[in-house]
Amino acid sequence: MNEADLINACRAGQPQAQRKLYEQYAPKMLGVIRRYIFRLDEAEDVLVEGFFKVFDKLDSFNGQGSFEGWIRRIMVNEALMKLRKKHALQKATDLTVINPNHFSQDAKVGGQLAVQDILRLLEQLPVGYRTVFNLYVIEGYKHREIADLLGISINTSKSQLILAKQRMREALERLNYPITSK
Amino acid sequence: MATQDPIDELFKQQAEAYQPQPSLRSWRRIERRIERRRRPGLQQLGWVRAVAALLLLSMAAVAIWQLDNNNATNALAQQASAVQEVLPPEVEAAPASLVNYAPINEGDVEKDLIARYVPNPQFRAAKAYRVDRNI
Repeated sequence: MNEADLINACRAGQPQAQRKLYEQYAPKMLGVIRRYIFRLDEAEDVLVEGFFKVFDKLDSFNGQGSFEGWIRRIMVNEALMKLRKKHALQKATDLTVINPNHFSQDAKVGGQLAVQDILRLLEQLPVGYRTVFNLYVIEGYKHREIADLLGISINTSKSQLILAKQRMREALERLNYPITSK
Repeated sequence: MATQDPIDELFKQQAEAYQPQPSLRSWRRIERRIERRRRPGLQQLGWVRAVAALLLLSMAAVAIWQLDNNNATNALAQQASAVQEVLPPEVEAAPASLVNYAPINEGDVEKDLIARYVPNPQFRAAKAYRVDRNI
């Protein structure tokens, strides 16, 4: 069963197909969501809401562009909506002191960020910084799109990204991750 | 431009690798919601019906009321077919000073004050009730 078949089966409302689609994408999408919303229970709420929308709006997926990208956009939108509901995007908490002991040692040796370290580092960022950082660096949105999504100006998006990266660099240096400019 | 940033590289490399397994409960919740959407429960259907019935009823009521109203005005209009009110219909939009009507003492009790539309100065409305007071 290829992707198109799976999508069509889901459109027809076949429960096994829906389950299969879910199992295929849920872990990845939960990973995406948790970069925006750290708390697991809240992240899973967003996942549930997101997947319900995916199945509900499956007819509007026209087959152009990747299906994963389409699902991903829905999930990111849901996560942003959740943040907005919590008014989290307006709050700007300060970066707390990072304890290096909480981070994996192996990653340091290999010069690579461990998977869970990414999440921890992101969590340390103020919500506004984190959201812009996620959208720009990981999702690859343009500043114009981010400005639209978050209801901020393009310049705010740009400055938040710069500040987020600055914070991230500081945090990484504190953890002795090698940051080498190419 | 962005891809040359070492931080960008660092995060992009590893972010995709993070794929936590959601709890089984999450799938159950999605399943339940899809199920509910597929066949709306009796309760929901009953609710929809109730609203539809209420809408129909209120529409009927409004229609009947309007019909009734029309008949009443028509009957009145027929009665007064030979005569016309002194004041033209624009009186409703007359200035505020005209609103303060005083009871009419002249004439018979229980009778409407009507006037023939003849240019007879004797039958002219009292000055206070005239739209154009210069006449």
